[in-house]
Order: sequence, then structure tokens, then C-alpha cells
Amino acid sequence: MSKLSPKWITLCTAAIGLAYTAGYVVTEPKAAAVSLATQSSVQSGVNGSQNQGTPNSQGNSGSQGNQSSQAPSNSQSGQSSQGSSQTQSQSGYKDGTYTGQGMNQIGSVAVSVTIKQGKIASVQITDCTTSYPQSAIDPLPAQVVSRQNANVDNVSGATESTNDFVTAVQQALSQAQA
Amino acid sequence: MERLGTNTQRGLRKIPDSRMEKMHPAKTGKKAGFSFKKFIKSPKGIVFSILIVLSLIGLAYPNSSGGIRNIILAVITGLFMDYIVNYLMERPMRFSDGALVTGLIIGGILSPAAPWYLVMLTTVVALAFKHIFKDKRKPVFNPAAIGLLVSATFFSAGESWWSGLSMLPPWMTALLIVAGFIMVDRINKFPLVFSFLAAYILFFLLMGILGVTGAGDALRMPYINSALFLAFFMLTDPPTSPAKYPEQVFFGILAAAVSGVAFLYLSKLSYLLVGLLAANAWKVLQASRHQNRPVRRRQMNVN
Repeated sequence: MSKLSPKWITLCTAAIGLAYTAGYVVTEPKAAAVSLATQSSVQSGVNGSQNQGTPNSQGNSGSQGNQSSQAPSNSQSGQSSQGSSQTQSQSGYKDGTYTGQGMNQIGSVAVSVTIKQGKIASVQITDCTTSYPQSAIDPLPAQVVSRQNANVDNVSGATESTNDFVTAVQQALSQAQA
Repeated sequence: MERLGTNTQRGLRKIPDSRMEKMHPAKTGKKAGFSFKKFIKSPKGIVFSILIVLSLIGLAYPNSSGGIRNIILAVITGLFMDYIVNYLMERPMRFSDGALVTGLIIGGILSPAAPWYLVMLTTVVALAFKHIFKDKRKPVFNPAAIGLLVSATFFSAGESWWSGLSMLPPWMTALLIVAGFIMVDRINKFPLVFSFLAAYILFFLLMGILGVTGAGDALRMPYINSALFLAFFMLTDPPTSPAKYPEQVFFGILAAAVSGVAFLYLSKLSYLLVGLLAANAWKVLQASRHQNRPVRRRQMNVN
């Protein structure tokens, strides 16, 4: 079978390059919107009790809606003690649910950290898109809760995923301290 | 499946399955000579050369020291495994260039931090599937893909596709594309690669427009490097991919579509492997349909 002519190869390469550029551009704002939504939902989590009567705080985008709807613990912590968000414990964390994301060349890890009574009550891995399986870093949330900080043991064979996880927890905790 | 079973039995009964082996049964068991010059000019030799170059470039990543260990381990395991199989089957004891390339691909995809036993296990599984599941002496599934899928699914083996330069700065992807084009031009698989890449990009572009979360990740590093590496060096594997242009196009589109669905709903670790293996299975089904057609015509003529 005769080979594809250089003209066709060039044409196809250019077409695929254009399609890729379009795909990259189309999906780029989504990624930016998600990170913005993450930050804003964290802020609304912190100030949840103050913003309860403002429906506009949920409706900016679909992803924002998801973020705020997937955090029932926010409203719970806000209802359980409105004053608890004002009372800052010795550790310096404010009650609420905070999210963070760590990213590098192998992908990203997103976590959700819940603070109750000034302590890290729970940590959940909400998204893991690294090239390594999430099961490798599954024990890390328990370490964060028991140690009450982001200093976890490095997982042999998943160092990059561990780094992503630590970055994500640190990001969430820094917002809890703010 | 009947044919697969027949081939396995043929191997186990030591029945010569090629015309040359039938004509020269005495030669079976003798050591065949290996010419490096011939090998390096062959498609497998070119893949070997390009993968070596890409792996050396990929080693520029700071934590990739284990990568070279994985490649050496996978290649040695592969050569040893094929040697044992050839010995047991009383086949000519020739140098297994297929095992060499499979080892290079497995070592270049597995995480540099993967434990040594998983590297060996992946290679053994890959070559076992190559020898067991055959269609007219050709492997049904891409050996490296099936080995990697098994180790990722059952043993949580990490994959970083570092030979695809996924751990290096984005501009180095251009080197991967140039190397891939050289390879694809040599084996005349441009329609397959173009159809795969076009379908892959359009699928995730559409998902991005529809607002599916995570669709954009597939168009960015490290996933796009993995897709390019798979398209250039695994999808185009001559024994497991079609030769005719129309079939190449369908093969590429099918692999991309299945990969896309697997990325969204199955696994972001091995979605490309699932797509490739699905396309491999389609190719065998297609071949079996073609074989059945002349028989029907003869029956019709008789009637």
C-alpha cells in the first residue's frame, strides 16, 4: 500500500493541531473556574453563617453549585454553633470545611478538610487524577487527623502523589487559619 | 476462540505451524543467527532505537533513576521468558526482538518507583498473553498493554509514562512527536495515528464544551504525552494493528472512543490501555469475519 503523501500528512497534522488548540482553550476556563470556585466556596464555608440569606452566593456557575452542595458539613458546622466559627481554638483553625489542591506534572490531588472545635476532624480525598492509584495515598488522611498537621509519612512509590496531598492539605489549613 | 485454542494446542503438541517449519523440520531447535544490522533496519529495530533515545531523554527527570533499572529488569525478564518459551516449545532459539521492545515499553511506562517484582511480573504477564492468545501466529493483544493493565488493576502498579517525556517540560513533547512521526512513517500507519489523535481530541473537546469535569486534564500533561506515546509506539504495533487504511481509521477511532469513555468512567490510570485492547479485540473479530466470507461464497456457488 502506498504511503500517505507529505501533503496529506501536513494537512492532517495542521488540522489535529488546530483541534488540539481549540480543545485546550475550551477546557482552560473550566480549570480556572474550578479553582476560583474552590476558593470562593471555602470563603463561603468560613462565613457560611453570615451568608445564609444570600442565594446569589451559590449560583455563579455549575461547578460552584457543586462545590457548595457537596459540603453539607459547612451548614452543619454553621448551625451547630454560630459562635464556633468565631471561637478560634489554640491551634488557630476556624470551624468549617476547607478544600485545597496540590498539582504537579503527574496530575493533581484535591482534599476536603473539616475543622470542628478548632481541630482537624476529618480529611477526605475528593479527587485524585495522578498517574498513580489513589489507593497508595489512602492512609494519609488518617495520619493528618491523628497528628493534627500536614506532616505525613512519605509513601514509597508514590512520592509525587504524597507531595500533592501534602500541598493540598497545607492549602486547606492555611485557609482555615486565615 | 476456537482458533485461539487450536493455536495453543498446536504449540503444546509441538506441531510446526509455519510452512517453513513444515518444509524444514530438521532446522527446528537449531540456533538461528542474529544480525544486529538487519535488526536495526527493521521496524522493531527502529522502535528500539527511538525508545532508547526517548528513555535517555526521559531520564533527565530528577527522580527517574529507577527508570533505567526498570527498563533493564523488564528487558532481561522478557528475553529470559521468551528463551524459556522457545526452549519448551522446541522453537528456534533466536534472539527475541519482540521481548526487547516489550521490555522497553513496560520499563518506560511503569513508574520509576515501581518495585522490582512488579516490573518482572508485568513483563511475564505481557509475554504470557503474547504466547497464549494468538491469531495465526500473531499476538491478539498488544503484549505490553495487557501486562500493564493487569499489573495496574490487580497490583496497583503506578504508571508515569516517563519514556513519553511526561515528566519533562512541555516543549520537549515536540521531540516525542518528531520521533513518533519517524516511526509511523516507516511502518505506514499515519491513518491510524491521525484518526486516533483526531478522535481523542474531538472527544475531550466535546466533553469540555458539555462541561464534563476533568475533560481538560486529558488534553494536558501528563495525559496527552501518554496518549501520544501510545499512538506512536503501541497502537501502531504491526502484528496487533490492521494494515489497510480504512481499517486503520476505524481502529484508531474505536481506540480513542473507548479510551475517552474509560477516562471518564473507569480509570484515569489505564484508560488508554483499555482503548487499545478493545481495538485489538475488534481487529481479530474483523479478521475472522474476512476469513469466513470466501467459504460462504463457495457454498453459494455450489448451490
